[in-house]
Amino acid sequence: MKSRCRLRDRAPWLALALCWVVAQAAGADEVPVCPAPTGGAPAMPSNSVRLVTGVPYSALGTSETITILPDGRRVVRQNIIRQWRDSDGRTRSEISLTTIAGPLPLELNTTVTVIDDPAAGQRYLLQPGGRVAVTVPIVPCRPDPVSREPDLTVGPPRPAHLTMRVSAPVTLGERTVAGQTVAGRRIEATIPAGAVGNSKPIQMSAEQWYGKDLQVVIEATYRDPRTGETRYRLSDIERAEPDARLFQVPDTYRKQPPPR
Amino acid sequence: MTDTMHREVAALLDEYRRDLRETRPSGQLDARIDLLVAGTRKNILRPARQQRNRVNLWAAAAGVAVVAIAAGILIGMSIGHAPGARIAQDATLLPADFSLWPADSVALQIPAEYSAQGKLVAVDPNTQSTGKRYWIDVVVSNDGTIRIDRIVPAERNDEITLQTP
Repeated sequence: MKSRCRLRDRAPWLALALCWVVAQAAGADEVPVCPAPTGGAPAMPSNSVRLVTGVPYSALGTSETITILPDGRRVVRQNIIRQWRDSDGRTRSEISLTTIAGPLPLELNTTVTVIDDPAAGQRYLLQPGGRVAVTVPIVPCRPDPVSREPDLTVGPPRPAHLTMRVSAPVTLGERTVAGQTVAGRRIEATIPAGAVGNSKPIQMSAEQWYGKDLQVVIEATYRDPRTGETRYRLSDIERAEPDARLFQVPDTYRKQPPPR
Repeated sequence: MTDTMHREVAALLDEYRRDLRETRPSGQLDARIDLLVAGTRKNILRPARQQRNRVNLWAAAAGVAVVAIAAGILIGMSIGHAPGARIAQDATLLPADFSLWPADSVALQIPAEYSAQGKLVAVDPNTQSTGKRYWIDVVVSNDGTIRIDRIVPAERNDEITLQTP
């Protein structure tokens, strides 16, 4: 009876303490909004990394670019991104690059593994050859979908300072791709005649289908007469929590800052 | 019912009347009663005050709780109204004039040299340079876009920007 009375006396203070803890927890969850796209020429991405928590997955992203040469021959280039994300928002991407199409094609034939750990504020680029993990500081953020500025960093590659007209995005509705409900948008861009010595306007387009649950692009098509058509598709989607070891730098690797 | 009282009852009432008539106020009794009343009031008031204090404490706790919960809701709303949180909840809430979807990008700096065939080929940064070496800034995104942003000669800081369409 005595202890019951004591508990009753302390209950208000316990309630106050609980409220304080809840308020602290609510404040601690605040993550800054990602910086808006810069517009104009594509800029090097900042150290801001989009944070998506509570939606783990693994999948295989395949990007295929088909270029038709003037003599009619087709050149097909394929690059693959194997990707994982855990419930805490940590990501791992194994980027296997063969060739990057464009006015100056780059032969790569290399695989780069990138681990983003938002909680630690670090990105690790693993170089298996030298057992080196290049460390880059990152800042987790949440994307800003109400930004009114068109995201010109999306879509076909563009020269710097290039005058270009970009259309308002067109909503394409929803459909199901790879078992995921996706929402589509399409944007078109035009390089005016004479801007780069071209006699006629150059029409480009980007179409993306965004997984509402996974919060990643599931399917995309980019058309650019200069490089051809690039199709991207996410397949082999698994919703299980990935192995935690995938998001850790192996002990045998030496961490060091970027070379330049 | 009878109009006349019983003789014994009438005698007892006479005796009680006489006693009452002879009764005088007692100072000691008044003092004892005052003492008893004061003590009783004290005993009665103490639990009432404790109860009132407890009620006040609960009221204060409830007030602070309301403020804390309101603050939590406001913080939650500010996070919820943060565009990223909204997109996390439902992508269909995006305004019609928004551009394409958000994606995650990584910038890679890759050393490369021109091959004998005139192609720009990635090389191992630890190997001896056989020709002119460049740093290639490549941006890879998980929306399927892969692009070369800059080409910088390794020896100098001059930047070659892609200008040709």
